[in-house]
Amino acid sequence: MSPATLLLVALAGGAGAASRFVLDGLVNRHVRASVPLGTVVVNVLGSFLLGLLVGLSEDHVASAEVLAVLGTGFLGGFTTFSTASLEAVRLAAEEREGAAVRAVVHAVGMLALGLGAAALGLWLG
Amino acid sequence: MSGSADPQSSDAPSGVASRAPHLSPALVLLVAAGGAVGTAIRAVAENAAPAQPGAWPWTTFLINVTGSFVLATLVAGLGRGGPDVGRRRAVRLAVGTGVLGGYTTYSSFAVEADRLLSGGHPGTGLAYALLSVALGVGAAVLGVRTARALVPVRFDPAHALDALAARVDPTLPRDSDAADDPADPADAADAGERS
Repeated sequence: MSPATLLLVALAGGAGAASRFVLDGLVNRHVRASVPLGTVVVNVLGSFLLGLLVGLSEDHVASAEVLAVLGTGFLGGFTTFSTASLEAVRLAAEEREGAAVRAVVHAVGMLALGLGAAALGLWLG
Repeated sequence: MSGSADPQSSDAPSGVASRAPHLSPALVLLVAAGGAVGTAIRAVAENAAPAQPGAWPWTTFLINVTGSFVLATLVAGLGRGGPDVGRRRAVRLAVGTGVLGGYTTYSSFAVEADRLLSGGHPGTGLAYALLSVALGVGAAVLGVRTARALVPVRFDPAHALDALAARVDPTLPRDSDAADDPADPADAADAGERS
């Protein structure tokens, strides 16, 4: 990867992270649920878009450089694994009935939706 | 973005900026700067050791597990040191939401798992998906414990604007332990007993 491409990837990652911060904040503020849904929305949407992009790059519609900047950069920075892990621990530690169940449903639900969304994107792309 | 009147921001204690963090241009820029750094680290690692078809995606796997550990240590450690405002919140957003959020990735993880699942390696794909999530959560638990061992509790988290870190740490008092009104004398006495 050339230094210029790496710089573009990093900048795109910054834009992705900022988009995640704003979208997560909007979802968690306006959608009230027993589990936080902001990270779920971000990760499922990002997985779908990366699947689509990877599918398009395999058909040579998107170049390797576009895949690096938009995929590794923007969508990599947009989606997050660490926050998903922390949210599961936080849910499990809540002193409410069914906290452990909610943590497992949150983690496994996000996984199933993320895998499904990425598969749909790959299929469409 | 400026001057948004969000009715829910009335929860905020006086003296704290009432605007939600995700609507503050300065905080969004802080997350972007951190996200650029985290993404660059991940891109260099993925470039050095890219996922091979049919093989366990070690690079993403290690990135996601280590990032989960460091984020949990950071957020729990910050939460034990004081309320989520000012410089403490800036560090959480720049390093936690920015660097570690950009360093770890869910989209690459999901696509890699799908490629294994549908590419003739269903066992590897399933193991990769489930072990990533399980070890990520396990690493986050370890991170919370590490913070508990390293950082003394210096404030009563029940009164924090963002009680995230308090909820992460099962040994700390919960929101539900405290009365809603921080000025409640009984509640203040309660806090005094803990310190």
